[in-house]
Amino acid sequence: MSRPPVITMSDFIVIIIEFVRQHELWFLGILLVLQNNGVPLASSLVVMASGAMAYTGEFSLPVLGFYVWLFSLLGDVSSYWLWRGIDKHVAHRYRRVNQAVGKWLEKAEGYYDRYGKLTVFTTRFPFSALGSVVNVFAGATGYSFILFFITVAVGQLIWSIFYLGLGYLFSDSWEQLALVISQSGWLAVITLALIIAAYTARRIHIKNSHIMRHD
Amino acid sequence: MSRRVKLFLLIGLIVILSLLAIGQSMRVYRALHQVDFEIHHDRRPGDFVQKWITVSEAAECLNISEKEVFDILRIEPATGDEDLTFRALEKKYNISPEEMRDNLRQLRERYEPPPGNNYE
Repeated sequence: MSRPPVITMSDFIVIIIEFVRQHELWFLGILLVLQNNGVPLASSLVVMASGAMAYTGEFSLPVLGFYVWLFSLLGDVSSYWLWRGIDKHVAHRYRRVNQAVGKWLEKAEGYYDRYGKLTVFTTRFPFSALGSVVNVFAGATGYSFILFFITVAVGQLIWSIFYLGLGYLFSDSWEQLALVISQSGWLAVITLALIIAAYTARRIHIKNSHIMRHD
Repeated sequence: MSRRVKLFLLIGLIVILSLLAIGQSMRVYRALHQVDFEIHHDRRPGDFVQKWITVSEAAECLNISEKEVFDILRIEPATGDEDLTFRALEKKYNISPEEMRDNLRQLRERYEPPPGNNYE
């Protein structure tokens, strides 16, 4: 029995680029909107590869840059309003849902009041993997849309320039760069988990020593 | 679960995560070493040859015949292969990504300007 062909990350990116070549830039736009709504489609790597495509002369770099920025922004804005609507029509309407998530949303609201701009901005770039999660909470907590829009617009501009620029400048090595970026993403996730574990362990240790002192 | 057990489990988790972080850092370091950070200031016609284009597109861009493209890829083509992308050929003929990368590099260097064109 023959084994099914293995699709690597690099193959996946090339397949997406083949689709973009066949169906023009709107296909890339749909992908960016879906990614910013939480569908994991490795859009940063695809955008980087499309930067390499711009270098080869298939698309104009400024036009591509504008498309990438616009659709990323559209993805974030649609995600914000989707979750704002869910909060209004589901969480506020049904008592059980409200009881389950109300406390968490209140906590998140307090957090967004203090660190909203910084959180929204840094989750566009460099921690873009967390962007869709932050969109959910921004919408559900009713974070100011104007502030969200301005912060996202600036953050996505930097994100677009960075990934398109990487692909454009190092078009010969886009595959190796994609590997570095995806491996670095995993490293960031492990590091974040390590920080959370260390912080929790420290808190438990401090509580333990307080109890022992009182005993 | 008592606090002490929780702390013990967390320390175990921290050790495992630390080992994973070291392993992953090594992978990132190795991947970084494979990147060619050379920036080309001028676009060369051969740069068009990437994994997502078809053999016939590459031949047209490089101003060479499709047969020459298949020769560089060391492939005995079947009918219709000229309309496949290099990624599809890589899968069809079990060519490793590294080998395909080298083949594409060779192809890019094969550009011959049309007669009377002093591009390069």
